[in-house]
Amino acid sequence: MLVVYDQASGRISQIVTHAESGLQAIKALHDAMGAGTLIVQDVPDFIMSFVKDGAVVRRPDVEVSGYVEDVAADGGDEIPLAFKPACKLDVLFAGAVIHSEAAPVAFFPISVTQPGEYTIRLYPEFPYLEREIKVTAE
Amino acid sequence: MKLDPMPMLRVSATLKINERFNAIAATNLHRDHAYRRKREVANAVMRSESLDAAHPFAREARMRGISVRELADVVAAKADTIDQREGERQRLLLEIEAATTPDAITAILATISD
Repeated sequence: MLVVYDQASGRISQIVTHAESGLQAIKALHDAMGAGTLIVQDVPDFIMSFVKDGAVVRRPDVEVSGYVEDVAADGGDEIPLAFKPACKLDVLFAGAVIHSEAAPVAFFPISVTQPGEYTIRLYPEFPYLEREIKVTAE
Repeated sequence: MKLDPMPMLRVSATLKINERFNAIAATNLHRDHAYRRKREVANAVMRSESLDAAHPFAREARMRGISVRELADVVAAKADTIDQREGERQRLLLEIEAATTPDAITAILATISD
């Protein structure tokens, strides 16, 4: 099958599994338009994969350090969260977004004031995968 | 960064309360409007203002077989549902403002769920 991708980012835009005119003919059309193309044996995961150095590989994860699952809800017990690469993020509590960072942050030390589950959604730049971490406060 | 969910939970709860009351108001739109209009006329009748016989209020009194004054008494005796609902909405909003925990907000919202 044919994988069509953005040459700059490696982001997969199409997976062509069959073409009447043949995959090579479709590949030639995309090549002529400047897209990246790759013939592969297995259907890649459209969301989880990208093309790097001429191969379909899994998108990398954001590295999170300083993470602990449980924290005291006293406003003083700090979790020194750090991300590599820096990420935009949302913090959710009971389904509501209670805090957002619209610009990427590499260091996000937090403490919480209320007991409950806090979900931190990380939005890194492509090709890194979005990630979600949960912190429970008691 | 000290994360306090309460400010955004209060905003979210306020939106839910307003949405709920808007839905109730939409369901009762004609009746509320008609009652409010009739209450104005009833008050005028009770102030002894004259009412034309062709006025819808006078027509309704004839349809019911009662006098204009009797209909005015009936209408004036009914509670103002719009004012009642607004009082209830304000009470809930003040409770949300005073809530100090997420569980307290959840409990308040549970009282207005369908």
